[in-house]
Amino acid sequence: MEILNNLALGVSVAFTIENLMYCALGVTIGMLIGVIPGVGHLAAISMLLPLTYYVPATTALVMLAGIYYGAQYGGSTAAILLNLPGTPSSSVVCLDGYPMTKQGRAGVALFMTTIASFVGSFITVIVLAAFAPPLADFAIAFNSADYFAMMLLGLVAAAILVQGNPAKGLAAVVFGLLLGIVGTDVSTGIQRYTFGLTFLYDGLNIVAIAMGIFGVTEVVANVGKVIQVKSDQKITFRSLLPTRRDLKESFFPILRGTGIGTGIGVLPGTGTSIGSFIAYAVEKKVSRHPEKFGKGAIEGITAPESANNAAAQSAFIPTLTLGIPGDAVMALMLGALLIHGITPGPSVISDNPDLFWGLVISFLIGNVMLLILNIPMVGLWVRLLKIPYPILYPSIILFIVIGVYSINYSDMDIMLVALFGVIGCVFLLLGFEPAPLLLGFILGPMMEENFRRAMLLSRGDLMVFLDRPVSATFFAMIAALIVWSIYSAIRKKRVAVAKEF
Amino acid sequence: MQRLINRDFLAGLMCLVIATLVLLQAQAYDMGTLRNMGPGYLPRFLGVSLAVLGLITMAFSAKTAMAFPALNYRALVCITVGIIAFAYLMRPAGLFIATIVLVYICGLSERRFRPVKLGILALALCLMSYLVFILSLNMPIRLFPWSF
Repeated sequence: MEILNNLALGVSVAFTIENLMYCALGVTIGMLIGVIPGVGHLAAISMLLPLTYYVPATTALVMLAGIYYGAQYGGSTAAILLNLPGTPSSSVVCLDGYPMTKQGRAGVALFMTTIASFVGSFITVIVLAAFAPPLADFAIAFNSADYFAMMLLGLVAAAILVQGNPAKGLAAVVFGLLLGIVGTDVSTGIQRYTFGLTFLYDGLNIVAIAMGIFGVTEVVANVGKVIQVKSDQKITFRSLLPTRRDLKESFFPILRGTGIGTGIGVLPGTGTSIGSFIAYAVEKKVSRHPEKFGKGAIEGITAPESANNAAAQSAFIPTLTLGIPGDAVMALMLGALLIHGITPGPSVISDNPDLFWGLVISFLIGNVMLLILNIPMVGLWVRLLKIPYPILYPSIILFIVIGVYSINYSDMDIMLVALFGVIGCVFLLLGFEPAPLLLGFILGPMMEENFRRAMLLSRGDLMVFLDRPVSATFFAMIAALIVWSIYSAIRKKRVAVAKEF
Repeated sequence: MQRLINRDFLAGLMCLVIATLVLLQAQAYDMGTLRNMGPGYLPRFLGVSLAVLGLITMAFSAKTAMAFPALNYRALVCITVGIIAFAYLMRPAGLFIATIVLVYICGLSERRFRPVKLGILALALCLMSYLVFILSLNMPIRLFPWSF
């Protein structure tokens, strides 16, 4: 009965005019930036982060999440029609999606990826609703030592899994932790690394960091890359309809992809790309006709598409139940919570049931909206591919600077965006991943607080981390991760996994 | 010598430099004890960790380093300068002038400079941001130098 009450609460929250509007806004923007190559969901989410200050926390998350999963739908459109991935996670869809276009089956490919995305998301939202509350109930008994160990595990896993070189991944985390120190120390009131600048007393603005590192850097990386769009595909409504065989061949791949995506999405540091790559590899392995892959196999697009959408939804499980963001997008979601004074962690669901259940129901609504946005309106999105980048990027930069200015009406925040844009480019140049930095920045202050509290309670005894079974387990996992990464670095068998930017 | 100047070597070097700066500044903060940590405890720990990670990165750099990715330096400079100019102009000169300046400076990152197209774009963006930010979101943003 409780679940029905919760769902009813979610329905009552999600079906307010404001939340429906922001949900529609989020998924439409997500779809848009997913379709347009050169604009990623991270840039879009950071651009719209300032809006968070103007709306309630639930509404903000509804919109930001909509951008994220909407982009997963849109990403495959450019991949299928132009062999050009709109988002990193849809690059694997190019492999079989573009051959289908060349065979004149673009409509079917677009239709089937939409269905696969929808099924993947829908199943995973149910998993989220079923598993998140018990997980949070379990984690609510954690003490500060356990929290610290859990956050450390999240950071180490994100650092090591996200890029090839574990030392550089960890260094990026440390950069983030250092940025998190800037400002007034909560325990003593002392200014750390503020250099007498008053605008730093409250710490660095997360919006400015995200906009600089993801928005500006992405624009700089894409300016001048000429994207030739020649395709004049006419997508008629009739050409969308799949054959019975297409549906039959996609049924199990979609379910397998959903399972893989859900599992991968929960892990820290993996993101949606890895889910879709693994789903593709698995399909190729279990298929009776592996030679079909790369030549327009329908399983080759439906399995990865359901996987990346499932991963985009299941990533919310650790974020909302434990306060551990798996990737940069989830870190920004936590940032949105922090902006509203909600401390991420296991108590989010019990303290703010309207937020959690409203979000769950809004995911379902958002996915239905995306279904409508995709299938009848495919032609419109295809036309959007032709917006030239020279018009797009000054607009993006303008929205970034006005957005960040609107938070505090401070010109120093705009300066910070410029500074972090340069830092993001240096990171790109030297091969550091920006996502672990953001994770470190978000989790750093919470980790320091919990570590201090644990040390105060244990009278400075570090063994407290090994005495508690929960934190001892987390530390064992951290040790295993580090040993594994050293071992595989020596064996040099590390396969470079797709870079999630 | 040439082999030492690679991507990961420089990455490690940057870690070392930043770690040094962090540790120097950390001297100003009380370290405290593990039992009762002062504000300087974490910065010192992170500075040392960063230095160690930098050294590890440098030590293996000959094996791990990959080629530098191509970066559009011209775009980086133009966009950064554009943003800084916007930051300076926003308050005294207002949104209208700041937007035009931003769009033109950003436009310099293209190889071909198209003043007319950029002008149209700048005016369109001004109108749009006026409608969105000032008219509908009611933000207290100055539009022209003489507004409020």
